Amino acid sequence: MPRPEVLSEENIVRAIHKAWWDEQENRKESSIFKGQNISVSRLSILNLDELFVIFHKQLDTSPNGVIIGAGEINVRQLKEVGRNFTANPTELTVEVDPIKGDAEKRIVENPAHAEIPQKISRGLANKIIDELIFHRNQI
Amino acid sequence: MNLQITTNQANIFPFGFGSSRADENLRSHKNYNKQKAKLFEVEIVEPKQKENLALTTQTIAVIGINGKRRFDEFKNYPNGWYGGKGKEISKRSVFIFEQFIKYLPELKSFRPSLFFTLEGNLSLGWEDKNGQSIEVEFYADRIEYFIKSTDEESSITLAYILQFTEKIKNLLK
Repeated sequence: MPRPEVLSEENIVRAIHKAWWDEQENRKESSIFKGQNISVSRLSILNLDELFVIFHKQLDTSPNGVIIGAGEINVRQLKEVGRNFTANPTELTVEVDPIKGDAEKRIVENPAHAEIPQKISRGLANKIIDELIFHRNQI
Repeated sequence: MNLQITTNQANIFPFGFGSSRADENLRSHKNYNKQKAKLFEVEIVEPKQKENLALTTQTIAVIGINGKRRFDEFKNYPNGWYGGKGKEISKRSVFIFEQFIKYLPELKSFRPSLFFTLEGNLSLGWEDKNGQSIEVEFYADRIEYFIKSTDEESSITLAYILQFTEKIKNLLK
């Protein structure tokens, strides 16, 4: 059964790891959005503070490697960036994919979780990053 | 054991950098029986423990203290960082990155940023003279890049690393 799509009116965020954001030079790397089945979270389900708690629990696997921020974008805007990517126009979708928690498997519950199933290239990822609103970690 | 390490060295230098340490080590291999002392150098050049991974002073001069600090963090990320998806640092990636830097010392004035990808690769990012971003990721067998000014997104095999650095040099002028 296909997963329902997140509405175009919604805003989503992507957790940003320290490895992909050089805070001193304020530069970001395409890994923030490059790849396939990119995990994002819906701000209509959980707010940023709640999401940062989940991001830290799920992704701070190394004492040095931490989530230092999140990048926010509107779903309609994301789709437009994909379509307008001249090198390879891409129809992007965001699919609902809530995660149920499992303490044994160390899976943290995230009812706001969603996925972008399409493959996002380095160039397209850079275009998306240009449109992000950045939020520094508040926790 | 030494012999196997030297063979690995041969495998990772398919593109033949003229007077590199690699070539010197390969010569050591050929003279294995005569020059056992040379083989000791191989073990120093290619550390087995990631804790031994260290950047050359030439590289640090280009990426600065901030870059070195970031590298020192990245090399300690375990397999499975970022929720199980990230791989630990690739020594091959570090080597290719340093070769790239070796031929592009002028990059220093652009204050490039060092990044680390889920594949365990180092990646470098900076802006050209017009403020347009350039991103280069160093894989074990290739270099992938994105040049925003031309929207060029591609990869090269290591055989063309010198041509690639020339291309980048032209973008910096």
